[in-house]
Amino acid sequence: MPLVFTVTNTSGAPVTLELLGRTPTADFRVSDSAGRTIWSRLRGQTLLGVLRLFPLDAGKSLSFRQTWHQHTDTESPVPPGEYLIRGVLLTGDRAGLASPPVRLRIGR
Amino acid sequence: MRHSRLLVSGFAAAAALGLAGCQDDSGPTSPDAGVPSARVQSSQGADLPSADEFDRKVPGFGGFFLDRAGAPTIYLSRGSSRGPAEQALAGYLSGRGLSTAAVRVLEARYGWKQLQRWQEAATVEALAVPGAVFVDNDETSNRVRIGVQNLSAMGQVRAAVARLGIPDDAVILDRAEPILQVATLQNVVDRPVRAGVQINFPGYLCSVGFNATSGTQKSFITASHCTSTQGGVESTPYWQPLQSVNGTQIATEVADPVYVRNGPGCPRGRKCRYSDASRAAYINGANQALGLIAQTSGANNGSLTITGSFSIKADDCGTRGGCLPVGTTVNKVGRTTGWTSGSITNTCVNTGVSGSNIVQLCQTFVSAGVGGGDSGSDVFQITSGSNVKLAGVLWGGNSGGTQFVFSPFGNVTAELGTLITH
Repeated sequence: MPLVFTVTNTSGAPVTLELLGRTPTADFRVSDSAGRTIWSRLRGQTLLGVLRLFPLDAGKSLSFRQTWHQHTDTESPVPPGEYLIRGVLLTGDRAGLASPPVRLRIGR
Repeated sequence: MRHSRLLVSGFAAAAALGLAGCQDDSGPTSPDAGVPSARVQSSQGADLPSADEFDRKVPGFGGFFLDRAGAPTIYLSRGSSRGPAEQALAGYLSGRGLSTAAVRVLEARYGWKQLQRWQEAATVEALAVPGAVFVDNDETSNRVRIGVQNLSAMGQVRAAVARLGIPDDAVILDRAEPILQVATLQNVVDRPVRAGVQINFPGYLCSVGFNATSGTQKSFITASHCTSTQGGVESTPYWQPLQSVNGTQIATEVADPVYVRNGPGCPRGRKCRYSDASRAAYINGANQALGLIAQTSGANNGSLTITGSFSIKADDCGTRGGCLPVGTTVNKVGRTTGWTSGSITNTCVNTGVSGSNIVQLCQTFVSAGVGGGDSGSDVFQITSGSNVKLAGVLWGGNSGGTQFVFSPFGNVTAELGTLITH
């Protein structure tokens, strides 16, 4: 399942983002109907703790792509049901810059 | 592969997130920080008018405030009608279920605009007097209020005000404590430079690891990836806290071993080192605060305000992997998450770095807070009071910011050579 997460500077002026790592990095997180995160692209990975000062001009975007194979972090296929998916741009703030959740329903 | 049918169409469309242009105002540590506009904002009903609005709409206006009980209180010159004031506050009052009778009127001796002019004139003269702290158009007293630290300043300020022709009765002089800028790990111009404070190299922010003297060269240690290129020396320049705040370069990268392929223990196709550490030499050796780590108010409380210093009294062993066992409590001080503390959970872990072909060999994992910008932070064990034993250099963490990884002191010295840390 292809996922695309885009962060856009919708203002009329450039901004400087403070991003975790030497290159802009985004996580994709899938949670189940109970709110548990069942899959995260970056789960278990170790990331560099540098903060990059990233200028983003007005109207410009950062995009990240990922394929989710409908498995959990433990490689088990997810059961049918409703899921929420978020993209999270990793920043100097622990919460990051997150997209609103997108609802997904997986059926048989 | 299991066959699944998507019941929601168009999912591959971007989950776009609009980013407003008002950058977080983090003060002098961030370029392009905007100045927030001040506005009196009520959480119920209409906004309160600004002082300028009051002055335009209310004849005889001399100042407005909410008293200790929250009652709207306005200064009006003798003979002025309260009607325009009630009209200006109508929206605010109705939003709180208050009648116009709730407005208290006090007699103004001086007009608001006149007091403004006197405040501006007094600011130039009074704040030039040593010991003067502030000059305020005090809306609660309908006077210009000037804060001074001592009697000597008080006399000089009184004389300065008189020379300006400001009526003696229009000015109140108060004893006041000096206003001090809160120094944080991010904004402090730290001289000499202690471990834990922010450093800036072109396009990036990191933390000072620990000060160290190599031979006779006064230096600091930070992460290898806190240089222009991770591995190899490019003479990376450093500023503290930020080039735009203090443009005098403090140090230059002088040591950063290259990452090696096919070395012992290094997985095929990867390049490895035992430490993510580099050394930068101070341009002015007097800027080295050897043995000192900036200390904040407490561990794991989120504070970045510097309240003192830790003192390095010892180093961990020089053995690769370090000598601190699982379960040991260690600490770090870094510019983003401040002072965090937790237990070592794993030792001598060969660790792949996300998004790269780098493997850091024999690293230590800690269950404690970390954030972007903390790279390079000093990791230490508190031995007693503010005395600490240096354990290593922090370089990474998990995406949740709940676990950090550091290169043990022995790994650092194995690659950067003997270092005097205190």
